[in-house]
Amino acid sequence: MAETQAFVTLATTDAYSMGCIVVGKSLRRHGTSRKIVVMVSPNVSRSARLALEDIFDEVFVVDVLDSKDKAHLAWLGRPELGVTFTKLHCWTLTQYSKCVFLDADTLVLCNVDELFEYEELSAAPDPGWPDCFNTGVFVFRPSLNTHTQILEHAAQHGSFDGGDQGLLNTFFNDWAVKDIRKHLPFVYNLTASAVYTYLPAFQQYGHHAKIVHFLGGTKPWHLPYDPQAANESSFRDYSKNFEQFINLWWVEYYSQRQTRAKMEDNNEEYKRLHSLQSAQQFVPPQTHHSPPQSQKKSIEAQHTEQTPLQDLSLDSLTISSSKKPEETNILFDALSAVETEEALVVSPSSEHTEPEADEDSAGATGEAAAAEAEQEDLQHRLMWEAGHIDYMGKDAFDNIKKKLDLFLD
Amino acid sequence: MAADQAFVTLATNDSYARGAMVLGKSLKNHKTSKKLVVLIGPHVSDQSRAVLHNIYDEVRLVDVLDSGDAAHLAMMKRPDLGVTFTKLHCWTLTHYSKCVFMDADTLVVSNIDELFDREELSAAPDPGWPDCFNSGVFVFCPSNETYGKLLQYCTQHGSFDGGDQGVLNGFFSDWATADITKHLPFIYNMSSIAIYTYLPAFKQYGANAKVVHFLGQMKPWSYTYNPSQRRLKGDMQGSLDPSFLLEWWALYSGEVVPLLMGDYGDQPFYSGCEEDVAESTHVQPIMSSAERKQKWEQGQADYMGIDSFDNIQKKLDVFLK
Repeated sequence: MAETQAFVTLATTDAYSMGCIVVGKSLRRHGTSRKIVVMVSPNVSRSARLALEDIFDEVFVVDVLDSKDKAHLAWLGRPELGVTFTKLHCWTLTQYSKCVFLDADTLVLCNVDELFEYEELSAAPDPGWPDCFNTGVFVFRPSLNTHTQILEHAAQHGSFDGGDQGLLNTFFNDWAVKDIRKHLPFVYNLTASAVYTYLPAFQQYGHHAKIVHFLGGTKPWHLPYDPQAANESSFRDYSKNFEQFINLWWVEYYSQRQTRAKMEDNNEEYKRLHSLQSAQQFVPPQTHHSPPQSQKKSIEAQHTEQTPLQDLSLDSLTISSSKKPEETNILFDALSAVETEEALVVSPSSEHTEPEADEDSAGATGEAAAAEAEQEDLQHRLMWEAGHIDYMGKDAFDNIKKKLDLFLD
Repeated sequence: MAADQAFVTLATNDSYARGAMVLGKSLKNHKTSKKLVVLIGPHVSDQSRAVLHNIYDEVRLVDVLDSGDAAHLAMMKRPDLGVTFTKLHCWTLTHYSKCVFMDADTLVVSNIDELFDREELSAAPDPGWPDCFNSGVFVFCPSNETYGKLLQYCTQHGSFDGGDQGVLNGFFSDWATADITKHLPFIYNMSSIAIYTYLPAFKQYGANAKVVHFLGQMKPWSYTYNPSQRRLKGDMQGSLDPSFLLEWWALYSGEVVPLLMGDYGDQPFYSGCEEDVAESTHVQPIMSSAERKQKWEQGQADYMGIDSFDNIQKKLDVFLK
């Protein structure tokens, strides 16, 4: 390339640096021809940075930018997102002519170098308000001028959601209406919520997913790496589709950096796993613990689990070699059929039925003796005052109106 | 030309007919210059038809088309949506040159005649999968040729969601990528769900809403409304902001219920409105004679207050003298 282009991501905590590791590894796995770089804030630990240096072409230390906009962040329910302003530093990476920013909570499922054919500012719609773009994945051109303008915009207008997304949407405010070519297909930023809010569309188009974005408060590193826990409460809020993406994330996280030849073998295993798209098919030789809280422990865990991972690799290979491609396809079809069957079993809510209106019986009328008439009048008065009005019969407004008219004449 | 352009909606039962009544009233209240057309299925009652004739320029009876696609509908947990195929009949309204279809669970909150500046097929993104358009509001040109092609498409491909939205997105499949002018702004089909999935954006842009779409299982008519308190009863957990629901109910109870009463006559019917007796007793709101007659005939007489027997006897005595 005459000009250098790069994927950019950001870590403002050690936890998010775990996400960056997966972003970087998944880009490498799928053979990107571009540079991959990461920005880290000063509070990210040295050990985390060292892990990132092992994967990324460049690690840039940048100052934290925090919107400190408690009011707007409260509406979002995500007070920790003020620091996403730090992302704005990506416009200062002027050694690159064009970049694709990827949030640390994304996972790349295939080669996405074609994103560099888009122009600034290209992004996919946000499902919450689809006339806004989601800032988890976007194409931009580094420029100190643009950087300055964005910061001025932030100073004058702030951000309507307290984070970077509100700010960038008002700065690039014609995204929704101006140029369809700057609308990235949704499959380049498939947010987790879409997996279950409009399930038929996910079933129809989801297999084209290229980048998954684990949007929301719960991140992959908050969820246990244990496919057998699928029935536990921690997975209650997620569909099986989402589990598959979580498991892919963990497989990527624990994958080892390989020599070129071994990488090819590993790619084959990964592809087989990916094509199965089933958590049940991935049975590790032993249960892994929940992710460690600090990067240092994470590195140690990686190191101490070297042998188990080796066994894991061997086990996967064994499983793979015992299956013919046809059997794999049949199994996948069977799983799809099971899912469809489960969908059928869901009992439909009954349609809203109108409550039946009360129907009072019409009062019988008849002529009576004077004494009886007087007693009946008293009875009628008592019924009235007790609330037992024959409002659709004897006491209908029309009858009373007739009496009034009679006297009026 | 106003005469050959129309807003079109659909009601396959009496519940959706009430939605259609409110929609029609809201379009008129915001002074549309276009015609109003409602397609109805055979199950819509005579009384509802009479009210619809009162509000709409044209009431057209159509056969119900049902996808019968139980598998896909179950995936959406909305088996009731099979009948939305009936919507495809709107392409047969060839005496109009251009129309805007609106689902009966939408509410217009400002004039939207500018939608007729758009071309077929213009629609807003669906919040569930924003590369699909939501078929609750769309601009189209009636054409028997297009109608025939749509039916053929249904036969060959079905619908990925069992309803009309899957068919229309499959047929007009380049909506996501071809022409930004066919992307209606989200405020022309603002899903009530978006109000709480990305609250800051709703706060920022929601005030500009022109059409609210009450997506989901719970419809406005699923609730019960207290007109004097302007309050709703029912499961409100999904809605942080009931203002649009209240707007729907204010229009329904104020302008549609009187029409229904006129057509139901002395027959009782369920309006969805209820009075709070205790409140009513204490406050004794001032009502016109027509309102009192309405309440009386609904069985909501203030029998211990202004409608007590003593008061009526006084009136009789006055005339008697």
